[in-house]
Amino acid sequence: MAGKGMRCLSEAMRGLSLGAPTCRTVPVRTAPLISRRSMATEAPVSNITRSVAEQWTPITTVPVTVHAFPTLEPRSLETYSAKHLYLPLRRDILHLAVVYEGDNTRQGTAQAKTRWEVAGSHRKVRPQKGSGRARVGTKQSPIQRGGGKSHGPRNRDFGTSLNRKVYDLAWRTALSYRYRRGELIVTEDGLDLPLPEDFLQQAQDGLLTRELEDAFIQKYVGEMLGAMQWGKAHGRTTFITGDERMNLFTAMEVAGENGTALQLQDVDVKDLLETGRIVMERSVLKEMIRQHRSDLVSSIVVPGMKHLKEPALGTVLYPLPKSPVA
Amino acid sequence: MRHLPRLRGAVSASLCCSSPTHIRTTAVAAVATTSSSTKTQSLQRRNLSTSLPRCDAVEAYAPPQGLKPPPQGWKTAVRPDKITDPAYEPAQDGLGLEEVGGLDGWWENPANYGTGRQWVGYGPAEKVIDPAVLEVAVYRALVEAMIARGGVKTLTARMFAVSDSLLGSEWGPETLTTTTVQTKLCVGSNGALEFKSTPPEPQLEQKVTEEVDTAATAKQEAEPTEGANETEVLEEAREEVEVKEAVEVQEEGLTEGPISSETAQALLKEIGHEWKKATIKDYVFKYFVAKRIQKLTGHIIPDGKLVAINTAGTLLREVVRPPKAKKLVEEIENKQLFQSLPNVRVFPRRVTPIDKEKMVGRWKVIREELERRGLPVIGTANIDNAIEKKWVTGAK
Amino acid sequence: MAVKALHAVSQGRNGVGAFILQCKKIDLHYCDWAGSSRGMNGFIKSLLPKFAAAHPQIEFTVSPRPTKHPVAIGHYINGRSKPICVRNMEPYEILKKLELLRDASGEKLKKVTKPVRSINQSVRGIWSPYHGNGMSL
Repeated sequence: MAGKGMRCLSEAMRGLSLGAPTCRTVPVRTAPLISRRSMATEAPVSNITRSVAEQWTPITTVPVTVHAFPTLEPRSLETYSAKHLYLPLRRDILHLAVVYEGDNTRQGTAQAKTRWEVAGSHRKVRPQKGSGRARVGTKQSPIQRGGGKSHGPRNRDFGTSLNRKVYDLAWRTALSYRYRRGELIVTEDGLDLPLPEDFLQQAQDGLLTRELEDAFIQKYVGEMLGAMQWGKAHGRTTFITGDERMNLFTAMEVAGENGTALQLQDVDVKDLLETGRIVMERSVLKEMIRQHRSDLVSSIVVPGMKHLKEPALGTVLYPLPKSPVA
Repeated sequence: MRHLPRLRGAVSASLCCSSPTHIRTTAVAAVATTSSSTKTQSLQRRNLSTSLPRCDAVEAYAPPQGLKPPPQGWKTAVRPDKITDPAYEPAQDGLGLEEVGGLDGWWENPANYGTGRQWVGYGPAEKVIDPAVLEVAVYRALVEAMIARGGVKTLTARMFAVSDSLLGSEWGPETLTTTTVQTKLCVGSNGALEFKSTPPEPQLEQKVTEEVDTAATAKQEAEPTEGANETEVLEEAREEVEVKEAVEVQEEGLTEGPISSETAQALLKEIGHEWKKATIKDYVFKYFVAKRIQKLTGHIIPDGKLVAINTAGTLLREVVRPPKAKKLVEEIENKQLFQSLPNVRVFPRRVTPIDKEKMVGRWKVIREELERRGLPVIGTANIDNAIEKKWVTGAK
Repeated sequence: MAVKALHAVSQGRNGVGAFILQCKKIDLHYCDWAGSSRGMNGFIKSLLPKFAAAHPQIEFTVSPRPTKHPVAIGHYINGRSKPICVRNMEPYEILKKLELLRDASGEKLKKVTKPVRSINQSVRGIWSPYHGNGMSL
């Protein structure tokens, strides 16, 4: 009995195994139709379950075009793993991450004095009986004016925890979301805003006051981002660089209505989800993914055990390093 | 705290652009960075880096000029009681005085702001919207990208340079577009895009690259200052392709802009529809096509969309598709949703009470009556609410 | 005394001979920006063309009302109007509301305690103290 059951099970398992002919590989027609003998009781062969001729091949890598900054000329092409930049949208994970960040950003320094902390004498205000008025103990009592607060805010840490792998997945999900929507623009390293030289010269010579400088930058950046369709009318732009770029950061501080500039270390998942588009340097993208891939790499080493290979971080497709001109 | 190593260091070789970096060295010298001086001024001044950005894209800018600083130095008027001139008569108001106000809106005046500060993108100054021109551009991009892809695969320096200049070239003369478009593309045996004449015309690549080179040379000669900035490789390539005779001929017909809509319509008949079924899988090829389309039309196809684009037809649809309407009214207008319905009226903006009065023809009467009584036609003319209302309701 | 047959003439009422829809006009207001109008915007795009084509006797106006919740307002031939706020509703929910507006009479809502009502005259007539023989005490 048991043996028969096991045999059935193993047969079933064999049927499910990879080696078994799947519907995709089953040849639809082995013999020409004419030579086949038709039976009177035979049901017509339905073709609704016939699989498509082309095999489905999942996308494993996705391209990332690296642009020159203000002109947006495509300069080179890299590929990233789909696990890095082409993840499905998981709103729940993004929500978890944003809430986690929000919790941990709370200052939590609100503090009200309790009745024990309010300064003053703890003497009984008036005798218990005989005054014709309500009985009162100390003046620090919460029901007294100037008394302590009974359930007031206390200094505390509002921080919550989130599993690292979940948080890292959220980072890449946010990046993937922007990528899919075409709102992730990668530029060459050294992303900075080119302010006109004559202006810089005059600013250097001290011919312009700070207000005039600001007014110029505001106008210049507003017009530039407006022409690129990156400005206020198109949902603002977040620039992310590796370190502080003076002109870019100053310009975005002055012309904040058109966008923001952030250093990599200041970026959160929430920042990636805000504004109309994210513009970052290629090394920032690489570093960002490198820092947030704990669910893809294993830190555990078991001798003799094969590890899953971690997907490569940004493979250059064009121009290849060995190509003659590059 | 997480820190990233500074990124200003040397870039990996793969990122160096193949066209030479054209940085005006004079400008760099003029505004040499003096970080110490900027630091001392940082209290009252902005911290601005005066070194040129490392980005090679600066070359695209025509040198901006004409920035006019405000008059320097402040004059303080003499106090009225200190004036000794007997003819002095104090002004009663500010109208007759020479200048009133500060430097607000200084840059709004074009004479102060100067010229040449417009953003210059990789594509044409204005995006191409005409669907016929777009279709021709996509087809041309496909042909040229195939040539470039073939050139890059050869891994020779010359073909690399030619591919690069091919991808970065402008529309060029109209004959160039015609020649390119006459190259027939079709669906190959494996569904991929192929040249129709098999083996592909051996002269084709030569022809197209020559024409591109010719156009480039003609442009170079028109602007002699630019000539010195080409790479050696490109110059070698140009010498190899000996087309010096054609330069004079090409110079007359040199047009930079896109072709006209009528020309595109005529070319579309030649192009046909067969190529739209071909599949495009290769990422480098897609990159070439996208880059070429951006140069020709100004449409940027984002990477996320490129992943999903697998046939030439979907590529075309992506480029031609008009941008999404921002307002419901525009969408209704575009799709002609209520065109055939006489009982539906769509208003582009809020229907105000005045609009309603106008619709029934009562507004004219109301306006006349209000004017006759000396009452404001619109608004309350700074007349507050009745104070009695406050007394009755007890509102503060 | 000759027996006279009752001379029955059907009274003119809505639905006898002709039916006039009580709803004459429906105003639809939406906002381009606010999320509460999402369903309304979708309704106008997808369902309204069909609904309006099916009801040529109703006049429809579509106009924006920025920074306000979406509203559908029915206007009736008795001079009354019936506004319904359709914020955060799905297109098909809004369709239901429009059907409600279409079917409504425009009268104020009344609580119906006696479900059967007749507009025929009473057979017994109305009692009057000045008529008849009077009652002798």
